[in-house]
Amino acid sequence: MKKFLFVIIGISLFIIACKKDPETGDPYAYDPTPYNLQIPKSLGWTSFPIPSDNPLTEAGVALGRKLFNDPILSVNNTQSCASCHKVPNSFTDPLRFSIGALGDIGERQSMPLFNLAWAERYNLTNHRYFWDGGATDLERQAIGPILNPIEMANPDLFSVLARLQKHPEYPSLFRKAFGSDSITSVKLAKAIAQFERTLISSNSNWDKAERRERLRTQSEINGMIIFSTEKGDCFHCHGNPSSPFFTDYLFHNNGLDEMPKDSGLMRITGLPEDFGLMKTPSLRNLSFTAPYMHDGRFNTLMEVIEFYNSGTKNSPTVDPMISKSFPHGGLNLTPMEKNDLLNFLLSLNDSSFVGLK
Amino acid sequence: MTLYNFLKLGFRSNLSKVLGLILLGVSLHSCKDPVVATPNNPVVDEGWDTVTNFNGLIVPQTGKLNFKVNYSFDGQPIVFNSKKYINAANDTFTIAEIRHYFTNVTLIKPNGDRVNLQNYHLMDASVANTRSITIDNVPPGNYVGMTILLGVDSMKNRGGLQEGALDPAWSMFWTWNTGYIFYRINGAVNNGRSYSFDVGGDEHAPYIELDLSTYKVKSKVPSFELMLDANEMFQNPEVYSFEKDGYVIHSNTDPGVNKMAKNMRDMLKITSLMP
Repeated sequence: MKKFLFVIIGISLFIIACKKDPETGDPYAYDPTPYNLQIPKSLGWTSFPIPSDNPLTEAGVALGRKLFNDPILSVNNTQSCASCHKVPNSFTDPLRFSIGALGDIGERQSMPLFNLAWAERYNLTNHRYFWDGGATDLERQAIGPILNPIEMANPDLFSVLARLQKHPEYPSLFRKAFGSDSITSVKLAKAIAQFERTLISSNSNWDKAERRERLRTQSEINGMIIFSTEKGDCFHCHGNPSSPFFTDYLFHNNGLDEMPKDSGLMRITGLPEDFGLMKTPSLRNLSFTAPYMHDGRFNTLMEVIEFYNSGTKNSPTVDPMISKSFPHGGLNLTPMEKNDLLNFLLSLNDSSFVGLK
Repeated sequence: MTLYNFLKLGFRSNLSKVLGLILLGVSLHSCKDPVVATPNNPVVDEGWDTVTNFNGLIVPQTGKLNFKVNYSFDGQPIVFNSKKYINAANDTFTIAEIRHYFTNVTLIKPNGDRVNLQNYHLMDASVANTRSITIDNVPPGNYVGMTILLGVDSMKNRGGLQEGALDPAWSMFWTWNTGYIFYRINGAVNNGRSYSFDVGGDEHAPYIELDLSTYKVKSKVPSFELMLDANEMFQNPEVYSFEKDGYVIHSNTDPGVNKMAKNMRDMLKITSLMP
């Protein structure tokens, strides 16, 4: 009788289990619904190339976001991408050098993450991401920190994939995004790259002024003129006045040192003319991304402005836009002009992007 | 960079290596349909049955190519880890690992036309089933030469990520740089040091050219036995010295990589071609 009861209960449970979600079906079924990417309509906001084998989907972006924030990617489950790319800091780290999963200290400042994918439109070389251009595209870039021994410190990708495969939810999430439970390094990188392509910062006071939603202050206007004329000559590297990206997505030696300690782009290309060249960072969100430069040597924006005004150093690979001020002893900006330039830079802060609003 | 790579090597755990090798054995296959190099080239035009004087390989109808690669040092089969080897520069060392890509097998017709079979394989000298491969869909034709890339072509090397043999999980991928490691050899040096050579970079792609015109073979499924001689990395045309040229090559820009990549062009030879 008891046995019989068990069988009844068993069958009932089976039926109940089978009846789960008869209408909605499997919540993890493959779902290629395209992600609605919001690129601003205002001047200069072009589209960017998306690899044909990695279109943005709702499920893929959501998976990428989850992976980006999950310490499961580090060797000892202590660090996620977000540990060193923090939202309130516009996806960079307020530490000069980030500390890795095993306590090792990095050698360069964490890079802020936004408006990344336009590098694949405006930089036509193979060298687009990382300070030194060591990655061609976002898919390849995503693998780097996972295996970097002083970052997430995994010995190989197989161990990472095994952890994800054993996780109660990830196999289903990969199925939803890519159609199969099997988690591969390529799918892992694709999901993270999809998420990164959606990080678009476009709502600063400067953008609002471009959209005629606010008026620029006189000081911002003055600063913008310094930025976009030979006076300050910022625009050659940080984008022409009509570009909303404030970077050329290329590499320059901005004269930080007479003898750069970090060989920069040359580490990747091997070309002597690339010695000490670093990727131009965007000028957006500077209030959130201190410290500044590839080695985080400056803590304040005024230090940065003063560096360009009077502190640039000569070296064989220094950019001509920097060296042309040497005969004049620098830019010779007045305190008022420096202040105007600062106000212009501050107008590029996008509070909504860092969750302040 | 040196520290970085040292760490990278040190962190490569045995467990993952074993796992990796097992998986490597299971499926390292991503063949595509072959593409004939010249679009207006007729597929069957050479009348092989009547050509009795043809020297080379005749594939009479769509066939397959079998390859088996054997590994040697100065002509002798390699004994991993235990045996000591001496190169032309008098460096004494053991060999712990040889791993390389074997891709873009391309057959050459008498008129110079090339048929790229677009195969992508990763071979590990100590994993037998990675060393024997079959390439399908070989177009019929008369062939007098063949090239093999011990690396990855620039199209695949430059961007994007691929599954199969080109999956970055095989650790033949520079995650902090642009591209694949084409060929890897490492081991211990006599004086307690180790050496580690990872050859890569589009400009160093080791394309191996092999002459088929010394054979008279007609087969739908010809089988090649190849000999990869590790000693040739260190000589011909130039002697590579660990001491002078470096114990470590870990990027496409390291000083010794150019010399080594040039030496590699004669490291793979045909030992037999059977019908």
